[in-house]
Amino acid sequence: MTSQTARLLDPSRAVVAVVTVTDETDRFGGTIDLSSTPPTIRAVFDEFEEIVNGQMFSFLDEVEAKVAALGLIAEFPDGTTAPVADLQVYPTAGEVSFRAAVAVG
Amino acid sequence: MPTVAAVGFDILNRGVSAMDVTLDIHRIGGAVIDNLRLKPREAALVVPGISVLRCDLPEEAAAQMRTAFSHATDLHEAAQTVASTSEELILAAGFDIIHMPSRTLPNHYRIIHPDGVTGFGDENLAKLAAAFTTTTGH
Repeated sequence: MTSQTARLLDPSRAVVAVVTVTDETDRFGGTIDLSSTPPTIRAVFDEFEEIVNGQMFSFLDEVEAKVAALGLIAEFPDGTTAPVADLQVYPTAGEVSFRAAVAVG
Repeated sequence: MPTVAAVGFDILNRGVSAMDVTLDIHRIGGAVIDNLRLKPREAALVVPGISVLRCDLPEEAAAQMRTAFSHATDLHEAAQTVASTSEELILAAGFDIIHMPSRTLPNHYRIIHPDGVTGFGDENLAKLAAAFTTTTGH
């Protein structure tokens, strides 16, 4: 399966992370480089990881809403962009998955 | 759906014995007390409690974690071990359980204690841990 490097952009089109992902049929998954991620966004990703890996699922809806509210957009190498949905970022492991309404070959 | 014949099982001398219970409530990571302890954020809930999943089999709970959180490698590792119990055994241990569905996990429940945070002390957690059966290799 071919991996592709994409960029995650905020609503102002600033780059907040770079991901290397493969099309996993129902979502994209792979690794994420958070070196350009603003602290406020990184904090949301850290919280998401803490909730999931800590099995604190009573807070899952809340943290998922925070991630969705970031309004991130995936920009693929061919210039295609698409809103990101169900974004899951695990900063400690450097892992990421998300859904985007584009086809990646 | 697995059941356990809890003959002689009497964790609180409350008569939980000679009955079959369905082990359809699962905690990822096993039944050690540290895995049942409230985290600070959970302790601050209006109704403090820990998360469990309700489904027929422990391997289903583990698979649900791998599907819902496909790249949560730490959680996947933890999900190789699953502790399973029943509502009856939770009640017998002095705790209770409430349904707290989320968008991603509609079968999410919360184990709570009538005394709130103070009910999650080590003595009570030992009773709760004894109500679980732990399986591995999921």
